[in-house]
Amino acid sequence: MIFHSLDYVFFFILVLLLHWQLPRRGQVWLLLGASLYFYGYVSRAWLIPFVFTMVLDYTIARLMEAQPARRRLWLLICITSNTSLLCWFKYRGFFIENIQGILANFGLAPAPELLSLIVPAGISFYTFQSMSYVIDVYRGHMLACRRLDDYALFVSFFPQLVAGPIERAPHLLSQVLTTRTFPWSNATRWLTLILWGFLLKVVIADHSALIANKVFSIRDATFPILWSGVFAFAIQILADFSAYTAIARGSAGLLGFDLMENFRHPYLASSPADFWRRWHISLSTWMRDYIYIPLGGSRGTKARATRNVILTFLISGAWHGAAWNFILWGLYWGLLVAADQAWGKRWRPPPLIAVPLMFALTCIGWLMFREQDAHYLLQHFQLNPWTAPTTDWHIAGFLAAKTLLLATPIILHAWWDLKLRHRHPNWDRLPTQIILSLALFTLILILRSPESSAFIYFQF
Amino acid sequence: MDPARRTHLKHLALYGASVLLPPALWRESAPPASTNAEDKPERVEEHWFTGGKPLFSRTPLNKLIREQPEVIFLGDSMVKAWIDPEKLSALSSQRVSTLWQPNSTSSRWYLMFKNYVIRSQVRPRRVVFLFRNAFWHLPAYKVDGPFWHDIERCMPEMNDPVITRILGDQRRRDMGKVDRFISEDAYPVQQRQDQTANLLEATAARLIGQDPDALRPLINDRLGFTRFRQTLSVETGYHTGLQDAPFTRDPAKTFLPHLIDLARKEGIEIFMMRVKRRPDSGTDSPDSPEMARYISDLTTYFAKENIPFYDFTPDPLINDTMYAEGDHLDLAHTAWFSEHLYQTLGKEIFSK
Repeated sequence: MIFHSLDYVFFFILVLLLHWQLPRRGQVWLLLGASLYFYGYVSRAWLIPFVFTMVLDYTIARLMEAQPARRRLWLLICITSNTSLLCWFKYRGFFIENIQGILANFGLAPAPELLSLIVPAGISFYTFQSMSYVIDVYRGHMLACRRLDDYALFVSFFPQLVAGPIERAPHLLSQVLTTRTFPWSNATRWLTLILWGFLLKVVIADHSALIANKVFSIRDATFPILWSGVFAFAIQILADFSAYTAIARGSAGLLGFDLMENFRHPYLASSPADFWRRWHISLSTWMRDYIYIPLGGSRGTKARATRNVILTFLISGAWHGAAWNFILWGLYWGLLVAADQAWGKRWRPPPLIAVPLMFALTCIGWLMFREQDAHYLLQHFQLNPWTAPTTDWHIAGFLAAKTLLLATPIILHAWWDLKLRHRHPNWDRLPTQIILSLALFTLILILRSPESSAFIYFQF
Repeated sequence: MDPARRTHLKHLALYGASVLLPPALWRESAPPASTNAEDKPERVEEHWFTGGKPLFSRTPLNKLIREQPEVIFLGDSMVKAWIDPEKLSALSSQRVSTLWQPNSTSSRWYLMFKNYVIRSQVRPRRVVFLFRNAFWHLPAYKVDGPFWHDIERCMPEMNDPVITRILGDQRRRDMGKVDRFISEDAYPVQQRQDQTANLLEATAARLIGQDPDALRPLINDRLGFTRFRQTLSVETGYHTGLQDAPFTRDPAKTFLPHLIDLARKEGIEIFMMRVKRRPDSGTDSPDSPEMARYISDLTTYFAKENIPFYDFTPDPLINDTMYAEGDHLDLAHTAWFSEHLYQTLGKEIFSK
């Protein structure tokens, strides 16, 4: 089920109304049932690996406590089985395709044709979330969950199931285990956040997607047209992903849960490391805590620290998708962050220079992320701005201006958040919420894109 | 209920009403409906909740009654781009009309034939169906969501038995009563979406000092179909869903047998005409082997059913310089093709 559909609106209203009529145990069962329904809405087959992961990790965590001497063995089984499942669904095709390509280069007969598998939506998200719980139990950061239903709800909680934020057990599971009350004082705030999410998705992301998709569909993009498309994609992916987070946080908030923030104005980052403190925060902190630090983090020699950074980002790139462009994108960010670390605390440009420069570097990354055809990617990097015809500059200017107009709410939001919010501590009173929500709702009605697509991060 | 909770409930109700009601009341300022009486849709059953099918557009019906054509060309935007009815009328000395809807596929062509051509009682002697690819055997293509609205506008009844038989489940998946209520009745302000999109584009153009009207054709050309990467052209063009809908004569799977039966019953002679898709530069024929095979099967089928079928795809006189956007001919060549059509098939289609 997708958030920006009437199906979801009715489903959520029904769940919300029932939820607050039930005692805590009933709430857990209702939310668990609703979450499984939500996830199996498109394909019931997706529930098989999902339930398998849930039951396996729950059992392993319990076994870790029951057999402390074998904790390491159980952790190994958990990591192996989770990553194997992820690889089977997500990377199997990628590996076989590459092996076939190599064999074909040597004139050898290609392997039998691939059995096409549909990757279950959000498999990377729930696998990471579930795995982090087992690791936390292994490290002794928390006790294993006693009840399977509580644990199952932690993994399957529908607002954040398909595209995060990737929650940690100490934060979300603890909320599952406590009695919650309806957030009377914050209800309108959560509703406004949901409307903000809808605006980001159906107005900004979907309109920008029309531009980006068009540019990445043509075979002879010139320098200005290509980069106007990349700019549109940069806005699309931010709006799309932060829309999902906003709707997830708003929906969870109305159910009495507090999900973590996933974005903090990432395009205002002034350095590569700063970008990852602002973009997909739940993934970057996951990578830091469960990959980068276990690898050794910044301890040891500079070369070792650089290796750890690059390796972490390579894994992050592979997490996003089974394609070389995502690996390249991960490597690119790994190199940027490693270079940033190596530069250390020496002179840095002022924000007026650093922020646009960082945005340009981010856009180069988005080009690698968006362009899945290596031939075209190479072609893009060879484009010469001086040879583009004037009409292409006009067209690119138009596309960029349209994207910028679409992004106005994001810009205003950042300006408000960083410059004005602290001056108006009581801004979220009812009249303000009403005016804001009314404006958002009206904008959604009159500006909604005629073509809507699924959330980009669903595929991961 | 404790007073604090009561206050919160009041606030929530106030919030809901203040956010949901004003846009619903924004009706007077919504763009006015066409003043042309023909454009006013006929509401067969008004009440959305009881399941009434709301719209039947009489515009095409009135057009046919007014024009009393002897020959009709029917189809999607290809009709508009390839047929000049005035030119053909002048050449053939017969009244020629066109009946076309953009983005329409075989479901709507069937309904347009049944509910406009036949219902109008104009009884033209000949109807020529224009198509370009495998839409006859992709009955469920473009029938969901907003396309379903367009289908319903061609249906005066609640349900059309042939539509129900062929589209079956597809119909259930389309826009439901609540969607329709929200988009058409509760928030008609949504009809402003086109206007606001145009305003957004015009503002963007002016921001960079350009005239939006001058810029639009440049963009259409620069980012148009012909510039698509090869793989995308194949996916979006000739092969759309073909693999899923192999050639079939099963009347439960395509509208063709129903259309042919209806035409026979009404004594209307029908023709099938395939226009030439824009040839890719460097290739002589725009047809993939799969499409060529499909057209060959279709030709056999039409021959068996005794339906004249003309395919302009192999015509060497039609070349890629004649096209505007996609498979649409430019204005000058619409007139040219009409003349060419008359010279080539005049005797067959326009003979008395």
